[in-house]
Order: sequence, then structure tokens, then C-alpha cells
Amino acid sequence: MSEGGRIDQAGSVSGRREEMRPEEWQEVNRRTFLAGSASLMALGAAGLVFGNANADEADQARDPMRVPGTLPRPYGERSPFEKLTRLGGAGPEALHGWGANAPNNFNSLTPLQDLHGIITPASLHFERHHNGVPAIDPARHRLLVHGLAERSLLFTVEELKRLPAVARLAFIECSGNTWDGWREAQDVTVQDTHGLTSNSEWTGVKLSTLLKAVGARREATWMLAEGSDASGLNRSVPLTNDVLNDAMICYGQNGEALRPEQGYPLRLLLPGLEGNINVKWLRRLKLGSAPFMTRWETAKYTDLMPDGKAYQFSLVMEAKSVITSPSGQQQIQPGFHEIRGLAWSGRGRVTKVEVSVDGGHTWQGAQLQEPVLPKCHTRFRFPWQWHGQEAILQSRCVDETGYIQPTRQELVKVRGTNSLYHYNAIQSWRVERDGRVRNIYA
Amino acid sequence: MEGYETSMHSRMLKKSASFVLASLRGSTYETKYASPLRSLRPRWTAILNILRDRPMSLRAATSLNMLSLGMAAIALGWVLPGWSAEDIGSYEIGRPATEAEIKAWNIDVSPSGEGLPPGQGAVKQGMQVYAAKCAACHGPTGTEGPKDRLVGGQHTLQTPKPVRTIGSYWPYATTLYDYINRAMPFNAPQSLTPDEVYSVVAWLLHQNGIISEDTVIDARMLPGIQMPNRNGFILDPRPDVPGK
Ligand code: HEC
Repeated sequence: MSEGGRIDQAGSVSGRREEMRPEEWQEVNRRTFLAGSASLMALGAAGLVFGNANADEADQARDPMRVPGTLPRPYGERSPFEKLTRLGGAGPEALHGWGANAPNNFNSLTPLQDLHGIITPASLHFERHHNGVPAIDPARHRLLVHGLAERSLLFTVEELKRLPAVARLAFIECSGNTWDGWREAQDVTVQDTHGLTSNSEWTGVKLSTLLKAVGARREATWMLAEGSDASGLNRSVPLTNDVLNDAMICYGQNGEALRPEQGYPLRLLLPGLEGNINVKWLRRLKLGSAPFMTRWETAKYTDLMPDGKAYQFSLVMEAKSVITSPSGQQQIQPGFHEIRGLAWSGRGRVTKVEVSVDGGHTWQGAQLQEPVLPKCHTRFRFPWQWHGQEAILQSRCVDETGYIQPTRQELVKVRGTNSLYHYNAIQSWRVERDGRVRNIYA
Repeated sequence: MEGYETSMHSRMLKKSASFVLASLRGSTYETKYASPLRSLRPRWTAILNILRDRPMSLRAATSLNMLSLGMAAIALGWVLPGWSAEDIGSYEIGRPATEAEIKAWNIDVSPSGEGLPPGQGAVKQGMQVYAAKCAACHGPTGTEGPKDRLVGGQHTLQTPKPVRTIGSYWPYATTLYDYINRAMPFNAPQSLTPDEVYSVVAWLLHQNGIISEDTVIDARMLPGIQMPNRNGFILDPRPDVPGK
């Protein structure tokens, strides 16, 4: 397979594809191509020789109908013209070791403003981890299930893959998503405000299958899930009916193996519950009869109320929607615009999304893109003509329990502004007369 | 945790009803008991919802009835269809973990103290461990940073600028052992001995004014330490915000 070798050569450059300009990429393709078969080379030469002699040569070289394309590649890449990236990340200081200047917050945000449909490409799924992404050899990885059960079992990843599989689409949203909303962040993008939610197809084995395997006892009402990263992240999961119906141990994401940032080789999926409890790099499930009260459900991920008390085990992500375009920092022109956005609810299906272009005075129903699935991002669309007047764009959703997404005012009235997590208020984008879009707190 | 208890309770109730149904199947008692029970099935959720709002005693009585029905079924010799009903054992996938394997991984510590290893630590030693291995990131006295502030902040939770620390916010002292043991120091997790963890926990509790300088901490006494914000948490009451 000499060709495979050549293709690898091109592929090895893809590691820094991010910084490559399209011209460079063409250069790489050309080199790959030159190294290719002689007949293809003859074809390419023929194209150049017999081309229209009067046309500008540079244009010809760029005419995709006149230049043979690239060869198949073992692992696909997006077009070099596409530049969409996650935002944030650990920052440059992360490269300088783990001293006192190492970052506190490891996260990166999904570019919701430029995505289509409801699936988040795995490469753009938001990240949140608490001491870096571990490098795990799946052949050495084990899942231990033990505690209040008849027996303790160890599973290899291969063994879990042999068990009856299930798959579903589900969003995962960090409960800190939109937390700037509490403190009114100024002039930011939808990626900044809402980029900690992503949606994938997940494949794995049902948690209940494993609980049957170990013979979980009836008193087993809580389960500790533990990751094998450097934070040893551990969370208590209440084994309610909802959880038992939905919970999965996943190895697949959008058709391929989980990405390392998403827990490779195994993660827990608890559809509709806050991101942090969907423990990644899962190595252990321990059954117990009470919550384990880890740091992640006491000091963190608890919602401080104005009276000084905090909500604990506030796990479900309540219904939320946001217009992804037009959105913060975008510049629009007068004329037709399709207002687009996403809505989701951790309690089930989204049943309705309404859009307002006048700051919430009047509302009109938006069109929901099928399929509309429970605990899954739902795409909505709304046609709009902009004539250059000032406008305030908002969306609000309703889920199948009848819950209506609140305004910021309603939310803050009950929870104050100290709770950090679970901000799900209606988002407002103001379109200024010059077409500049800015986030405001209406 | 009353909310979860209630939901656990409904789960058990539903289960015991299904169980009674299953155990009656094919027996002479089926028509007598199973059909009325089955006809109720669509209404179980409704019944459970009604029960949920009733006093505990009534809920207990109902589940007791279910239970005695179940007992009767067992007494009559029908097999228990528990978790093993569709036993994954038949796939023969996964292998039993050895005691040593479980012990190596079973590092979590519960509020009851379960999981705390033998060993002990005094405030004084803790001060040394802290200065050598923690102060660079958390500051000489635990208040300066640059990373998470570990000390102080009491009586700030109701102010516009709440300071959440071990002393002002953490409800359980056992969580400190669990977290430091598994995740700190940040640049060398799981590198401390049990005595080092106990002692640095002791120092942090002392810095926060929770224990005196001469206290020695071990598995027996750590769970009993009363944290200032022990009663600062309520179970998720959401949905709490009425939309329009
Ligand atoms: C290299 C820097 C660094 C060192 C050294 C370090 N820590 Fe930390 N520590 C952190 C960071 C960063 C966090 C926050 C981690 C997170 O939230 O994911 C943290 C969090 C904590 C917390 C939780 C604070 C809270 O309120 O949630 C405790 C407790 C703690 N560290 C104790 C220690 C102790 C004890 C040591 C020494 C044995 C230590 N740390 C050494 C960086 C460090």
C-alpha cells in the first residue's frame, strides 16, 4: 500500500491544518498528487496543455473543472476554507506546565452561531475538564461496578461493546452555561454566552444492563460514578426511574469512538442532567444507599440563593432556547433573514418555540425542524425582514411538562444573582440601526 | 433528602406491584388478584402521585400492603423476578473483581467516614505539608490565591459578593479528605500519604476556626466534625420560577 504511505504524508500535515492557508493546502495536495500514479499525472498535464490559451492562467489553475482533484484520504478533513473553531480553551499559559499559573478553568465553547442542524461535530463539542484530558489506552481501561450488589464485576471496553447496545441523540449542557447572564456580561457572542451545550448521537450499553449483571440490591438508591482523569472526578447519581430508563455507559459519539475530550474510551450519559454528572473517562460505579457528598455536589455545582441557602442535586437542565443567528457581534444587512436558533429541555421534548422581534411585546410561533426528540437540541427557524429599524430579538420555549422558559427578571427575582449555575433565561439580542447585533439584558 | 426518598419509594412501589403481577402469572390466583391489579396499572402513576402528597404513614401502609401481597406470593412458591429476570449473567460478560482490585480503586470517602484509611494528622504537621505542597497555589494562609481560596468567607453567603470556602460553604469535613486525597496537589494528584492528607485537612480546618490547634484527626473523629454550613443546603426544589 504505497499510496497509503503518501496519503499519510499529507495527513501528517493536517495536524497543523488549523494554521494552514488554502494555498498551502493546495500545495500539499499537489505534492501528494505529483507523487501519485503516472496516468493521473498525464491527465493533469493534458488538462494544462489543452486548456483555453486565452484565459488567465491563474484562473485556470483554480478552476476545479480543469484540475484533477485529490485522492481519497484515510481520515477526512473539512475544507481548508472552513475556519470554525471552539473558543476559549485553557489559554496559552496551559502550555507552560502545571505550576501556580496553570489555568483554573479548562473549557472550550461550541461555535453555535455557525452550526447547522442539531448535531454538534465531535471536533466542536464543548469541553470542560478539571485537570486536563487524560491519555487512555482502551486495551488497559476497565470499568468496575461494585457496592450494594450481589457481586462486583470488571468489564473491559471490548466486553461492554459486546453487550446489547442502545443509541440516542442527547444534548449535554454544562450547568455553568450562560453563567455570565447572572452578572450581565457585555458585548459577547452566542458562543461566549451559550457555547457550553452540544448535541450528539451517543451509543453504548444501558446502565440498567450492568446493574442487572451485578445484581444491584434494592437499597441501592445512589451510585457513585468516578472518572480516571487527574481530577478523579466523582459524582453521586440518584437512581430514580428517569435515570434508570435513560442512563447509558457510552463508547460511541456520532458514529465513531468517543473523542478523548468527551471521555474516551467510556463515559456516563445521563440525558437531561447537568454536564458535570455525565462522568467522563469512567472507571468505577459504586452502588450505595445515600449520596456520597463529593466536592462536586457540595462546594461546586450547588446554587446559592439570596437567603444564603443553596440548592443541592439540582441536576436537571431546565428548558432553554437561544437565537444563534443573528446573534452577538454579528453585522447584518437590511433585507431577508432567517432567524435561527436552538431549544432544548432536560425534562423531555420541546413543544413550542416563539420568537419576538420587539423585545417581548409580541410573539410568533417558530417552525421546529424535525426530528424533535426528548432531551435533545431542537432547531427552530423564523423568517424575518429587517428594514433597518432597531429591533430586539428573543426566543422562548415551552417543553412537554408545560414549563415555560422564564425572563431574566423572573429568574433573578427567585434566585438572585449569586447562584452561578443553571441560568436559562430568555436571551435578548439588540439589532442596532447600523446592523450591529449586541447582547442586552431586557 | 425527602424528595428522593419519595421518588425511591414510588419506584419500589411500582416494582413491587409489577413483581406481584409477575409472580401470580399462570397460577390459579391469577384471575382473582392479577386482573384487578393489572386494570389498575394505567392508574399507578396517578395513584403514586396522590400518595406522594399523603402523610408518610399512609404511604408506608400502602407499600406494606403491597409487600404482604408479595410475601404471600413467595410463600405460595413462585420465584422472585428481581434484577436477575433478564440476567446478563447469561451473556457471561465481565469478570468478578478480586478484593485487591476493588481495594485499589475504592478510594471514596463518605460523610459516615466509610472509606477513611488508618492514619492520623495534627495541625502542626499539616502546616508543614501545606507550606511545602499547597501554598504556592493557594497562598501562605489559604486566602491569597492565585487558585481557589480555602479559608475565611464566613457570613458572606447572603451578601452580593459571597466567598465560598471550606469554612463558609463546605457541609462535610469528610469531603475534604476525599477531594485532597484524589485531586491535590493539582500538579501531583494522589501523591500524598494518608498521614499527610489527615494533617493538611487538620490545618485547613484549624485555619477556618473549626478545630483547635491541638486537635489530631483520624478516621474516627473526622466524620463527627460539625462544619459551619452543614445545614446550608436544600434539595433541588425546581421548577421554582413560574414562566408566563
Ligand atoms: C499547582 C497548583 C495547586 C497546588 C500546588 C495545590 N492546589 Fe489545590 N487547587 C488548585 C486548583 C486549580 C483548584 C481548583 C480545581 C478545580 O476547581 O477543578 C484547587 C482546589 C483545591 C480545593 C477545593 C477548593 C474549593 O473550595 O472547592 C482544595 C480543598 C485544595 N485545592 C487543597 C489543596 C491542598 C491541601 C494542596 C496541597 C496538598 C493543594 N490544594 C495544592 C491548584 C493547586
